[in-house]
Amino acid sequence: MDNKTSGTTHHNTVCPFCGLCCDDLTVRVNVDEATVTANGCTLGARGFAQPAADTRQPLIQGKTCTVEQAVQHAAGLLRSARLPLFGGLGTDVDGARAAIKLADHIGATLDHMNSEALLRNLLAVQDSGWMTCTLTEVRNRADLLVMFGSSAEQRLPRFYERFFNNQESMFGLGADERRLVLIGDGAASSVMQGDPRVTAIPCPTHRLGDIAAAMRTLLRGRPLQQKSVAGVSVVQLQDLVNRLAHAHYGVIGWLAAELDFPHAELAVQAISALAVDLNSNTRCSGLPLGGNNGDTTFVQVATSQTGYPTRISLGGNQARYGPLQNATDRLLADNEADILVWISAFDAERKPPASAIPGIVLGHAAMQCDPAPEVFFPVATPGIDHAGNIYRCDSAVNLPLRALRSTGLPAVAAVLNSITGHL
Amino acid sequence: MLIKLSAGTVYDPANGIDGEVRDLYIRDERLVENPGPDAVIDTEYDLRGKVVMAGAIDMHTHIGGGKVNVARTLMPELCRDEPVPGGCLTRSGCSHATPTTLLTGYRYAEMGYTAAFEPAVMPSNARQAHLEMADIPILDTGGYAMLGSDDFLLRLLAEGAEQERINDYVAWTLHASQCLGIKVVNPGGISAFKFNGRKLDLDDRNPYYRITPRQILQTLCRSLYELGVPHPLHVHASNLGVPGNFRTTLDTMDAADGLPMHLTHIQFHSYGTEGDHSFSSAAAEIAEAINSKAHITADIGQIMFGQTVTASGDTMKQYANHRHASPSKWVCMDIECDAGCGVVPFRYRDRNFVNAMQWAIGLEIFLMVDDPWRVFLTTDHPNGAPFTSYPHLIRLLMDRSFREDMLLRINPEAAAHSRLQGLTREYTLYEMAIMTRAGPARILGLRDRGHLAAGGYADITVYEDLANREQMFERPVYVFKNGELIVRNGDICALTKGATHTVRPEFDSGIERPLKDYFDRYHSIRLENFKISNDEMTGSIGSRIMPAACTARGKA
Repeated sequence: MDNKTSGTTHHNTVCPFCGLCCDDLTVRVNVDEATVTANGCTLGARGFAQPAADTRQPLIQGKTCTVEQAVQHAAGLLRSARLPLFGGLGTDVDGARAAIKLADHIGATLDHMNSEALLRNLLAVQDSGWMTCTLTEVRNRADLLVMFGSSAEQRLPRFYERFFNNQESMFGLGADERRLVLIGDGAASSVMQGDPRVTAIPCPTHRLGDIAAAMRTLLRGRPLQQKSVAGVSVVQLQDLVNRLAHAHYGVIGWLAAELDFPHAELAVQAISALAVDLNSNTRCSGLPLGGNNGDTTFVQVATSQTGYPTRISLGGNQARYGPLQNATDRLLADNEADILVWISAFDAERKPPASAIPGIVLGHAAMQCDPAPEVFFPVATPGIDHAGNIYRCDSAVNLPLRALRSTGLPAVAAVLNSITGHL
Repeated sequence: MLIKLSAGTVYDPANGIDGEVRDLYIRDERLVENPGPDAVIDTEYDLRGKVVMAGAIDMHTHIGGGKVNVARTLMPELCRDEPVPGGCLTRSGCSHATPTTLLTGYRYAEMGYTAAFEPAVMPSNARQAHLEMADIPILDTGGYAMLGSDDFLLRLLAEGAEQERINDYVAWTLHASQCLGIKVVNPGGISAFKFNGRKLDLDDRNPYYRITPRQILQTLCRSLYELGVPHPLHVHASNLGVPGNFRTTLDTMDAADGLPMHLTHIQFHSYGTEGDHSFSSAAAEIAEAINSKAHITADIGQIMFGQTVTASGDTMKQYANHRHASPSKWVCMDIECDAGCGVVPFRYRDRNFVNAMQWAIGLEIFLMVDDPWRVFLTTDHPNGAPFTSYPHLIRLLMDRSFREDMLLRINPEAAAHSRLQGLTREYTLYEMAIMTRAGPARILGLRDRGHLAAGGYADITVYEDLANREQMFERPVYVFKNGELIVRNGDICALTKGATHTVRPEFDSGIERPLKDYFDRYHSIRLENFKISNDEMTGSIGSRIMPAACTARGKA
């Protein structure tokens, strides 16, 4: 940190706004305004620039109140609730700890806002396991990167910059020696297209699982009767299988959020199984990418404390896992919740779903809810307004978030622990 | 607050006390001398006829960090099958093989344990390990940082770096990861697997770096000795689970060049190749070697029959073992040019020859190692069995007739091959107190724990002296943590928060220059964000730090 006339500059800042959690940002803070001045991207720039609005007070039915009044009111609502539901859950480790503690106390159900995408991976790994690697391994070892799907550039804007175009790597693999294969809808229109190291294989996204399954068959040396799969010729698939089989360290990536079609967990299973199969003779790892709003963080904390990753019911004094039953949308639609606690500390735009039941919202201070929830707590953003910890999308790495400014807004954990103390 | 524990039968091997009736006094957190007749006792516990020991210490148990969470993720059925409801004081939890963090603390405390150490903390995953251990109530925790397949060390070795440089890096790692020891897992083997190596014997060269596991062991043993770190190098040897691996294990002991070395879960490294199944016990050879080599210590990694999940940094061997996965699903991860993790569910069956032999081999080593100060009671939780099986294991060691009854239940061919029938030894309470208290405290450098002398922290467990040692050790009458009564009649009665034990060897901070260059060029995170600061430990991670004393020694 160095003080300049134009505010304070923070180096090596961790960005919590996508699953990569890049930690090399330079962020300048001038009074309440945070601006990324180096190593930013569209998502990071937007995230840091969200206004702090630290003059905001909590609201009860849209009317300003003190934090104490809001806490008391929220505690009262939760005391009388029979089927409380915690949604959103966009927060840091401490916020997740506090949410699970409160939920355990009152027998609530917990469902992260990104559960649909999370479960595409979780259901696959719970059924068959997988072999994966983390980002530093990709950066140094991957001589062939195969992406099932092509939305990395939108969802993880610095992915290729940091993990494919890196000039330096540890084992003598230059950037020009790496190869990238993009498979999917947007393959031909990707920003990476045109790079001589890149091969694009267009196909419908919802057929990616079929492509992977066909490649597994070819890898085993079994013949396919079709001449093409999902519009891709078997000759081209055989070529890709050969390239993976001859790579020293292949990496097969995908973004679960992009695989937005029914039973996409089966596609994830086929893609990750392809990576596993290749290890009979060479090395290859799967790379589940994506994430935001503290989704990996919530999954890690919830798994360690309750045994389950998300969609956890803590009613009846014990944890139950309901990957389908405990979905926020379903619980609201079927009137199986009578109060919604919605948490979104990173993103003012991730608002609670419309619902007839009362809501307690712990939202980014710039969040505008219409209609006003029963109680609204403007909360601090981890990594800007307060220190904390966040997990990167590869799950293995947790990074420190630091306070870059002092806004006086309470952290999610502080609000929730205060409510728990009032029960 | 002054507490008197009256007339208990005290087993305190660190102070040579073997079953003497004594009074103990606790003032606030610590044990104190008899305060004299005028002192006002706030609470007195009548412990006549009861057994008093220090709080137990588990020196090798996988309780925090990514691989445990991978195991939980992979096996939700373990949670579903064993939910544990919350109580007035306790939160809900689940699973005995992969217990949730809070449940881990309750279960250990209910068995009289007051400290537990995570042996496989990848420096790149250390935050997660500490975050999860900070969630474990009551227990003091700590970790051993994994080195030996990390590219920074292997590059140093390949460059022929001087021992002093290596020492600086080892010390830096202990600070950066807030750990209290160093563990090596299949030295160089996790790295070799990333280069598609499938096997690496002690004198084989790493496919890329051309250095051998023996060099790694020698260098790290020497580092810890010279830095004065109390805990010697904690070694998960090469060739885990491979029939005939006892020779590698014996060679590994010699690789220490006479410096202190701890061999962990040695049961998994004590296999011969005799017999129709080409799988036999080499417990006698291993125990004899431990008996004759004073620089060697070992914990056992006893297996117990039933379902568990194995979680290890040894990706090379876990990948090879995946065909034994039960149920058939498993995870392997290559992690951050640092190490890796492999998670393979396992069901040990008493009717299976190999599993029954594994069970017998562990017990044989326990019973054939003469010096209880150099052997430690572990199941390598959850790899051999969940830690909740300790009371059963203690009974197997203390009660010969019970052991022989159990021997009748296992695969008869394995029973016939085993020497267990002829091993008459029964561990005494004094020896059990060494193996589970005084020994672990000594080998970890915890001067204020594991004993009952005035000045030590009042971590104390009180048992009924029951003939059935399993019943005795599974439900202590009282457990005190830092002087506070936390368990009464086997149930949690108060919740406290433990601390994180660390060690702080001195080093030349000039090592950060090559480290910064390495991180900037190759890593995905910055050096500054890799290191865990003291403020972060006590702040967002949420645990007090307790550094153990550390005095640098001269060159080995």
